[in-house]
Amino acid sequence: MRQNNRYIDYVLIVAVSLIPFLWLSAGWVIMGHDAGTPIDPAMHFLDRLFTWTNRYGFGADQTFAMPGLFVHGQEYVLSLLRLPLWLQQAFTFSSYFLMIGFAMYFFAREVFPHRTHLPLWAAVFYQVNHFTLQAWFIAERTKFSTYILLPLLMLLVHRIIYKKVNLLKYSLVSALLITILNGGGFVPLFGSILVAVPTYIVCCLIGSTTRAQTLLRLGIYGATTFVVFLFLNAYWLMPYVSYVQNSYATEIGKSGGLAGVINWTQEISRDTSIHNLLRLQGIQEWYVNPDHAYALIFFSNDLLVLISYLIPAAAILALIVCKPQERTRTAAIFLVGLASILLMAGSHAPFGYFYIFLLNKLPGFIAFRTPFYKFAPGLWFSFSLLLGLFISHILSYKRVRIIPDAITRVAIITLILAYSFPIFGTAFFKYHEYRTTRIRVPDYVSEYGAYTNSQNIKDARTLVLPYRPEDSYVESTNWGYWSLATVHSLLNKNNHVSFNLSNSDIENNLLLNLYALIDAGQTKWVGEAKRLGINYLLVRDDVLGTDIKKAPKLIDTKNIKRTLNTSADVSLVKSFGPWHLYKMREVSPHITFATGYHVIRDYSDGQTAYQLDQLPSAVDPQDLVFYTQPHELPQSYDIYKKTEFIIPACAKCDLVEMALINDSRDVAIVPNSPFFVFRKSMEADLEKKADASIYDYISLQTSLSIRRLFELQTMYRNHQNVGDITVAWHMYHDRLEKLDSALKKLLADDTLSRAADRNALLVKVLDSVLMQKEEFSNLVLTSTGEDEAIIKHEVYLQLHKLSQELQKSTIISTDKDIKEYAVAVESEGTYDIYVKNDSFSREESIRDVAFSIADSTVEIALDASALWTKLTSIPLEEKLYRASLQINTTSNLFPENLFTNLESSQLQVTNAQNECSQLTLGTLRPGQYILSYTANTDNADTVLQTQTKAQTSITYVLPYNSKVIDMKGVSSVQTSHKLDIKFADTYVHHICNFYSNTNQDVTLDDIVLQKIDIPTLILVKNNPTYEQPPNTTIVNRKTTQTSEQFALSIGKPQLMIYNTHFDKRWNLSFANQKPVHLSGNGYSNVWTVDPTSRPSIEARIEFSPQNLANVGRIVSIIALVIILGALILL
Amino acid sequence: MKTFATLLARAYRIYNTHVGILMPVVGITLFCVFFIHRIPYINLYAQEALTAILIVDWGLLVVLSRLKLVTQLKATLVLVAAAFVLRYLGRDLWADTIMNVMYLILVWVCVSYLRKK
Repeated sequence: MRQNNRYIDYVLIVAVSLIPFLWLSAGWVIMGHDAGTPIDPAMHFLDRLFTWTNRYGFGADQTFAMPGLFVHGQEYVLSLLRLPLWLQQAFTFSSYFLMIGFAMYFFAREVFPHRTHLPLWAAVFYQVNHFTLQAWFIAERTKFSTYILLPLLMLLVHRIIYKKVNLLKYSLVSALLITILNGGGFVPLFGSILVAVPTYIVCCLIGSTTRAQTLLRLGIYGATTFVVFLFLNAYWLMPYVSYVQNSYATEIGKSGGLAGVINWTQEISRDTSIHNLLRLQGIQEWYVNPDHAYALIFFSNDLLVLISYLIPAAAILALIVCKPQERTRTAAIFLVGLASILLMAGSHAPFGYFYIFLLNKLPGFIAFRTPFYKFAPGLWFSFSLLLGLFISHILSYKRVRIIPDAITRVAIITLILAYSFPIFGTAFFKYHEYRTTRIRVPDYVSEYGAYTNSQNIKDARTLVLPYRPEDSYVESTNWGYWSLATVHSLLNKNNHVSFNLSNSDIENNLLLNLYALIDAGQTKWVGEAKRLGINYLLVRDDVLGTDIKKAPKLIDTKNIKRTLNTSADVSLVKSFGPWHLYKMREVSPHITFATGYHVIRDYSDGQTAYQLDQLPSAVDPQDLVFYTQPHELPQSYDIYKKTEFIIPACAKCDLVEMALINDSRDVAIVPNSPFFVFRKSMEADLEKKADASIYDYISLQTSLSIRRLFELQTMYRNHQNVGDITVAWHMYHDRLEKLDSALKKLLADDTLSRAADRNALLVKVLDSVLMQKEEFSNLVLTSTGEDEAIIKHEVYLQLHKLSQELQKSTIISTDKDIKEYAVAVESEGTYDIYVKNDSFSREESIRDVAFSIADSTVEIALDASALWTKLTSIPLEEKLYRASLQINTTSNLFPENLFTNLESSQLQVTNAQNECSQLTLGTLRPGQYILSYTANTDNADTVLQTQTKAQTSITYVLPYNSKVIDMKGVSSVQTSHKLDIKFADTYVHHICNFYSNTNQDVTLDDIVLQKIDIPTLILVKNNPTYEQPPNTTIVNRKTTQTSEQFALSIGKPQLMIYNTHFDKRWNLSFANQKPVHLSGNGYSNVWTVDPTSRPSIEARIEFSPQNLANVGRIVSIIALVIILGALILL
Repeated sequence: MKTFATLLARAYRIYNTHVGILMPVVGITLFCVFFIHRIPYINLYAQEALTAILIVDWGLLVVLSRLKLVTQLKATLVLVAAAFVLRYLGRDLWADTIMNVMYLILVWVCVSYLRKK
């Protein structure tokens, strides 16, 4: 290639890299959604030097975020230039464009040295395409870092294969590159590299005569790179090990476990057909977001559709027209793309089962839960080169060669940019009718950030108000910010708490209660704020309410401000535009000592346990609350126990029938299948695993019995022979017998351990058995043989026996007016029993109830003027009690307007995202409802998905989060939906068909919407021997983000509360003691501290992974110095 | 032992020939044709589509394996054009199927090129 042409190429790549300057100007920045771009990059970077952050909720482990050092480090360096934020972002984004372009350019020039136009095409196409366009709308810098890394690593590997190079030098360079372009340490982002590099190596080695030597060289290179990488990255790898040990299971759990990951993968892979992928489409957002800025044009414009088909055609032509000496490389690069397609398609047919198999069987593969995005770079890498090769061939024709080179080069980039034309506008940042990631941050936000940073309140906790009741995990403001990440987490390092996804459920419930108290103007909010360690309150008048179709409205903060302005406990510090900062008069210290403790055991899934101000017995703000029995607490601390509360579960008070199908009804492997032997072996493995816990074992046997039933249904449907069906009946019978004997074992165990859990399990098993009995009746009608009839009868008897036994021994509500509770009493004593008056959802303020427990029955009228009505006071032993509450209803207790009986509804459910059928339920007030109906269809392949949403919410329904009605093989399904209505609105039940390509005719019958009562019961036992511990104070406190150092004197045992989010890796060192570490108040760290002989002893609380990070940092720096030295020498 | 070694050598020779590479494809195809509906996780539509694809593909491979690789590639170009037309006519399922077939042929051709270098 001529030197001049190179310079033209460089100039053109640089010119393309300036595109971000078209998007960003005069204050416009990319922020919100999943962008994670900070408002103050310097603070954001400095926060990441620590393994613990206060930016989220009550504090959080951020070990996993430490590798983001380079992504945020670059932003930090730019911020030192004191440029405006938009300019910093423009420079940052341009640098990514530049690196992407040059990485590909150098690889292309290395692999195809004689193709003059290829490198430029490949570089620009790799820079600007549908994949990067989709990624730019949220500026996915971590994704781009591995996108840049791919061609660079391929270049190094290519040279090792084809040239005699210095392996040590290449290893050092590779390790350095991987360290810097590390995808934020998020391993799945390396997916495309893990596929592309090995595929390329294998392809290059097929038929090679020096295969063994090359493999050896590659092996040495790989091993050296790996070892160097370990040393270079010790700064995050060392603490990361502790993070994985502590949080891996939790993270998997958050994504819904393996089943959740598979469901998600199936949703994300719905449109990743090979057909779409080969045309460089298949991006999920294009298909699921009806408001996508440009997808529709690419679907409907004939010219653009034609171009999409020319892409695979051109790639194939590249293989045809390449020179013989280029053929191996071209085929290898093509195979890299084809291998990427195989994995990008995820669970999509025809090879989707392979991906699901990997998710199920390959340890760690579960991390690749979004296959398209993780493996896509390999495809674009491959096609950039193939298309470049084809174009280069066209331009090598004599007739074309007469055109000046500069013109052909400009034409190349014009072609590419024209196909990705949305990149020139800013509309592609828009992902919803009213939302975009291109916004302006108001000055007051930055002013607030700077003020709170400069004042001496870095150590303080600020409660952010108001609470957004609808879509509450999301932050949405009138200046366009919309994201799960809160604004203040991008602002500075200070601790702001708000209702958020990063909090635990208990933390969010405690915050909800605090929000409600402030909104209602109740003075008790001050005590609850103290318990949560709140020092400041930030009231924002720019928060948007529900995402309604029309212009969203601001949330009214009038009540909040009235409460704060009239309270003597707070004062207004400063206003920043619509943001108002208040300060609590009494500072809540980070470290306190409990004045006593309460134990609240809540089995009800309700809110009562967190409404501490509303409990029938007082809980002082300085008191500690344990939400689980603190078994590890030494006996010497029993004197500090004030109260024990038990909130029993109202056993199946919602009367919702069991969700029929978790698994699919249409089972693939039935007992006479050749593959059933594998199924049997898998079940045997599961049984072995579940054997350790009788609870797991019973759950397993229950689901396996349902499985046997579905197998039978499938066999009948497929008209299989009677002999095989009889065998299947026997297998079903065996399963029920196993369930029966396991249940007997469980019921024989009358110890109190997990008694409430036991009843919850029995409720589920009973539900399942009753469902199986009902399904059984459908099979009876299809009887064909004598043996079959006998065993079928035995199965029926077994089901009947099981249901009888279970009904006898399970505490369960079967009538809407008689509520049954399982009360597990763990310590004997006299308990006061109350019922909460506002937990009855019906309208009447006064009614009579009859309550019975332990052979004692009382009839009592509810006290309308109080929050609780005391039902009785009774001595109870350590055992499981059945308590029942009968609501004495009269006919007028059920006003007509509480029911909405709808006529039968004929629906045609089409296969389209926006065209779900709608069943309007009318206006519903907050409370619990059951919607039940029978769905009928003639189509044997119907799977429906349903969701109930407020009419004012976004109307389209996403496939995930919806309840499935699986009607495969059945014509009618009775289904119940529990609706937990949080705010008054008109509600619509959406019925969608996402799976079938044909429209489904469905008729709904017996539609009933009913409001239900789930009364809250509470048992209270006060400790008459309670003693108040003496006051203790701490002195000489020194604090960092991950440690606290102070001195204290202890005369009597104390419970020390450190009001940061509980993590077992927070350690307390104090006078060689081994303090018991517990979680208290639902979120904080609590330690037992025993008396010492000497006064004023030094104590230290620290987050242990920080020590590992500090050691790792030293290792990394030493490694870096050695590597740089070695590279200079080499 | 000797017989076993001879058998192994023969099997390797067969594998190494042009037809040899077809054998695993034939084997996998037959497996899929007969047992695909037993494989869990894939829905009915996918099972049918996969079976259809593999039958068509197997047939095509048998035919194509007798053609030059370049001719095979030209055939894939025809398939791309066919997919475009079918999509234009609203026959998306067929277009999908044809592109799936094309995918397998491309893998086949690329691997063949690499083996012939």
